[in-house]
Amino acid sequence: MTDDVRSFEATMAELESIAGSLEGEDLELDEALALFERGVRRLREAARLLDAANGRVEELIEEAEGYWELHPVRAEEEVDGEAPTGE
Amino acid sequence: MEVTALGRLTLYPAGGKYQLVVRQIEAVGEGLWRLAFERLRGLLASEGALDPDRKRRLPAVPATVGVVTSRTGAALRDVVSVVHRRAPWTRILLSDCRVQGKDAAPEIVAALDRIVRHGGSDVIVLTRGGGSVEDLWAFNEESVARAVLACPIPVVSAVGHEIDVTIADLVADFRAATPSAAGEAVVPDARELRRELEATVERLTGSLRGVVERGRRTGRDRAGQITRAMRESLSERDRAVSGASTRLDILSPLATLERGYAVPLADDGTVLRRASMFKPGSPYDLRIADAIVRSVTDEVRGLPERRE
Repeated sequence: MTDDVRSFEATMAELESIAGSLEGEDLELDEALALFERGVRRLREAARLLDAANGRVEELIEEAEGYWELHPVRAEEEVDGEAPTGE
Repeated sequence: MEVTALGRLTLYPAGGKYQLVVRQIEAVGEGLWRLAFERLRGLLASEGALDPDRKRRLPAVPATVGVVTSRTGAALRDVVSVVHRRAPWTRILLSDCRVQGKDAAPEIVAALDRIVRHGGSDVIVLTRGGGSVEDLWAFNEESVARAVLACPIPVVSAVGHEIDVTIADLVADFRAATPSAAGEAVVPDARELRRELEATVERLTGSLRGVVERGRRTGRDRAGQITRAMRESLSERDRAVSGASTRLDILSPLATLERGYAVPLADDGTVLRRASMFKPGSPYDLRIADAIVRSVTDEVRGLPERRE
């Protein structure tokens, strides 16, 4: 999923350039179809990201220097209902 | 500025002098805080640390948002709810720290440092809810300002309410007025991205149509027919992007052609799927990956183990 998100911007940029080529260049039909097909694949990848709803909330805890533990944070643990007290 | 002093006042009548021995002195209102704030702001400004040019752009679609705040604070709840409402796929990494009191500044610095060393976050939200000037003070400490300035990951600050401006806000890459506003600043709204995708689907389809039209004008008529048939089967489907995934599946045979498969097409663009559609002696187009092969049916033999 992380990679999907990272590639989202790149995907949108590629789609932009594919549409630009289809609009501006005098392409052979097969070239055009190949470009279109690539665009379709990219669109599908991007749409998959938008349908995902699996973002988690985790607390980053350092067990020892450089050794990380990720503790899931459940909704009811997220807040005690008060403004932060700190102390 | 104004102070309240508590002590012992002595009058020396001989010289007409007053002497005040102060035991305790306190700033009245926000005088001392204001002074410390302005001193640090002046220092940072003189170093160029507040220059707008220093501000980094936030990533458009972050995969992971690091949040430096108190585990039990309302600010965390606000950030999480706004981020997940807008971009439900986003992972949120909390780096817990106290956000007020004398230990808050070193804890904030340590919490930022953890996120940086962990390395998994694309953007950081440094936040706490509203409070008095004293409550928010850690965010005016030089150590916190230096940590934000040195942070290799873009930092969005959201400290207190709209009217509270802290040094952390001034040195951050983006200042959000409230924790919820920080959530809005760090992730895009899925609905907007969906609209963007939808527009792209339309644009791609439209541009392919343009290619077909141009092909027609230059006499590549048959090729145009095939593409038109494909495009028409595309546009029959609904226009929503969620529907786009299904709609675009129709095109996957194009990928299959690359692997060596071929699609026989009648002159009107229909795909010839069954033996009954081939008449010996009749011509058809064989669409392969890089060409259209004009062909004629010679003989039609059924497969011995054809299963439906």
